[in-house]
Amino acid sequence: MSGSMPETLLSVRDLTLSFATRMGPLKVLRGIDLDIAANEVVALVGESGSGKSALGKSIVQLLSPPFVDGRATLSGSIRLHGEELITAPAHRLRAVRARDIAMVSQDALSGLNPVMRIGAQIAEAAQAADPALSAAAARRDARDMLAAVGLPDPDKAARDYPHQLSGGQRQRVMLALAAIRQPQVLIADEPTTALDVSVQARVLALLADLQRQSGMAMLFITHDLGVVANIAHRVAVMYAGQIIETGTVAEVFTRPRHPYSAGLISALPEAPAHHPRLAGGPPDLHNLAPGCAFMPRCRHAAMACSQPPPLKPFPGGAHALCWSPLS
Amino acid sequence: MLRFMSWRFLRAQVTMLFVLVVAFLTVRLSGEPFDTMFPEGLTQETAQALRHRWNLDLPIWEQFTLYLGKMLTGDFGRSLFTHEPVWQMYAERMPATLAVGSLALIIAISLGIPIGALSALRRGAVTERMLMGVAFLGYAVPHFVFGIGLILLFGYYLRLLPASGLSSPQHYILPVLTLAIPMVAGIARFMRAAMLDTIGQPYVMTAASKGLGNGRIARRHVLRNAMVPLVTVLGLEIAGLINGSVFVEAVFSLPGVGRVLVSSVENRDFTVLQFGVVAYAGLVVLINLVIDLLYTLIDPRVRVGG
Repeated sequence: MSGSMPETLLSVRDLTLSFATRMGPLKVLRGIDLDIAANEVVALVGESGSGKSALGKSIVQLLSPPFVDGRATLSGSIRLHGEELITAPAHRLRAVRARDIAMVSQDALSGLNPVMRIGAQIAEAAQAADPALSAAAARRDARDMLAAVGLPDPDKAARDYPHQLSGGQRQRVMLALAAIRQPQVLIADEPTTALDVSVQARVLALLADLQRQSGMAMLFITHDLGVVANIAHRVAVMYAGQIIETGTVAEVFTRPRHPYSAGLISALPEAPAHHPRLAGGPPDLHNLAPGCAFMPRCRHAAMACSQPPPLKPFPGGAHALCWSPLS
Repeated sequence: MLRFMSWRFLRAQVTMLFVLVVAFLTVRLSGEPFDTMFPEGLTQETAQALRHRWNLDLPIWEQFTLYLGKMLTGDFGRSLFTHEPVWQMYAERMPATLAVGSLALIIAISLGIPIGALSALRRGAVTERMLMGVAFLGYAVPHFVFGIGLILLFGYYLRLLPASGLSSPQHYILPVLTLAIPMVAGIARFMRAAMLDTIGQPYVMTAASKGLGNGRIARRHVLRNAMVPLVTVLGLEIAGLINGSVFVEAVFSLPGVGRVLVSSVENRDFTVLQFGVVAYAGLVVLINLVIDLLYTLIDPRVRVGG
């Protein structure tokens, strides 16, 4: 990273997301604060249902498919370069999605239109990002991008339909789809989950390369802590719709402050043995404990934990949302 | 691709052979053809001679091979009543049926697809609910009820439109509407379901995350994918149209092939009936072949796969 004080590119403040359900509003995000600087990779980790994917989708405000009335209510603030996105008009949001914040989802296998050629799908993204781009130039750029993401025969791949490519190749195409826009922020939502383990590593390496070359910021969403150390600078750990700990990768991995982070890390095969393993399952968002949501599973729970926990700062810039953080 | 099509073609031929057998047998199951063809009270010798003359004294399987051979060489026989060549009887009536049928089809496609697509894109709106309610009704009511209803309303009470024959352009309106309305409803209902299914697919989210406008997402990503299953349904609808045309031609007294078929049943004119059954079945088989071919054009997965 360059410069003394990295500039904050994307700033999320007190973000709350709730879905209307039959059992009343379901709070999926509960007051999220998150900053991402230019050129920074932040890993967002947590169990399924912790709200990490919802946070990624909330940032681009794609919580339900187009033409469907969403039941989601989003409040708080999402600023890109200081511009508020929560209240931005629809056309402005489309421009942000097209140019500034790209998203790669985990649906590599079904995320591409089955009846459209690969080249046309990428060219479409290029033209959405730059309406002045001619169709021919967009096609050429698409082909070059396919070469850049490592497809063996980019000219053929551009003419292919998705079913003609393997899963790993399709995920490379998804990355090409995002990278061709030269976005400032890439939200990668479990981009390797659907792939074979042998392919995962190569796609991750490609993702890391693309990030370093372009200098884009990245929010890397995963439940797999094992890959975080290779790709991210900072980690944010989510639990029950809150970020319960943030810090640099080195800090959080060697000295987790929140008992939940410690439990996650102890579940890694290469983890030191001294942290207690996690017991119990993910919380029911309809019936959260009144104070700390992790309290029912926490070995360090005390009386104070029935009150909402404070966000405590630590040396080195880490923060933990906990009454009695580990030391 | 070539293998796929030749396999389909082979299957179509097997189907047709089956149809020929069934047509041949069912017509004969309804009674001895001889009794239909010739007056009662003939002498034993005359009857025997006539039987021999018409090959009716041969075992039934030999009669069948003779009939099959004639069918394959384009000799479809003559009507037992008018003695016209069967082929010519149908060919003369073809234009009326084709005109009414294709008009109905054009109306059904050009109304059904947009109604279904729009109601999916504006789900929950009041107009959408009304459209789908009407579509359900149109889908549920059979042709002959519709046709008679339209005749009563426009031909009898309001006296706005002619209800029988095809002698002027106005004559086309009621029969074409009768055929088209259930198809519009069927196509719209299916199109809506296919669109809703497609909207929920991950690639539509991908398209939205590219920052595309809703119009472009609808046209390039939703509509094209929703059209793939619609092609199959169009095949079924056209087969339904062929059935419906028989009713509609009877109800509106149209000079079409359906009338020839119906009167051949009434007259037990079995050469005419036999050919009619085979020709209608052949048409459905042909449509299926065309649909399979269309599939390979629309869906790239079929193009390379089979």
